[in-house]
Amino acid sequence: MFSNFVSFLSQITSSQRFRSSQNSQSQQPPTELERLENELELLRASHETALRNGYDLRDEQARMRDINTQTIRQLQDEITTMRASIRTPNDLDLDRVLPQDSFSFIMVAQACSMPFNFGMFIYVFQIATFSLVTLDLLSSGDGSNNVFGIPGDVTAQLRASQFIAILVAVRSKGLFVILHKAKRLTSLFSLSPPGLHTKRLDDRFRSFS
Amino acid sequence: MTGFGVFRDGYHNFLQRFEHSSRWKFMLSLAARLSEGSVGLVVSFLLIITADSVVELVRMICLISVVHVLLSFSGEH
Repeated sequence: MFSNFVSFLSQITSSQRFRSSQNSQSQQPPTELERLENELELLRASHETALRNGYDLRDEQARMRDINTQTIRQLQDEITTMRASIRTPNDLDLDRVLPQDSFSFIMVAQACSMPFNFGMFIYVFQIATFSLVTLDLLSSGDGSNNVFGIPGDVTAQLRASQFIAILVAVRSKGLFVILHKAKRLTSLFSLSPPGLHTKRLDDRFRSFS
Repeated sequence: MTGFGVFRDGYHNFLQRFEHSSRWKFMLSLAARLSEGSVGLVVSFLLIITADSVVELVRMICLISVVHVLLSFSGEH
């Protein structure tokens, strides 16, 4: 009985010694292997962080690439639209040019410059000439209702000549209007290929009508 | 007639590419063109109907052509 009790005590003592030895071992500084293991854990953690950041950067790069692709496509569409809206000088209609006379100088020249003054001088000279002619016609009247002195009982030859002269005087109006329309019709059906430039065709039809 | 054509085409159709062009000069040129054309037409008609002979009529047509066409350096009005 006593011997059993002594053996039990010795077992308890040995177990406590073992525990104390374990505790003393855990409180000791880490060995080289543990330090390397800790460093390995840190490296693994940093590697995972770097991988995660890399994945994020890759996603951001892909997102930016998509945005850039979309932006480039929009810009290309806008450029295409703008190019379609721009009319080069070759696309301009032949009849939409400045009239080739001195009045065009007034439009495009700088104010008070030589071409501008030349155009104004021509206009003033024409109006002055027409005014003098009108005054001369008014002065040739006989004072009655015939203010302009229009002769009566003229010959048939003169009557016919006056009729022709009126047609000649307005020929620059009527004849050029007819030529103008004919030129537009010609350009309408010959210069534009079918199926293309429908907007220009619509414009031409609208301006022609 | 050219004045009406210019008025129909408008300012922005062909004048925006010129450096010194402006709207008031366009309107001034248009008014000058229209007034000169209308006055010239009336004077031409008066000259024609007041002619006493065919020779005088031809001389008047020459005068109209010189004043109305050649001085503007143009073939159409």
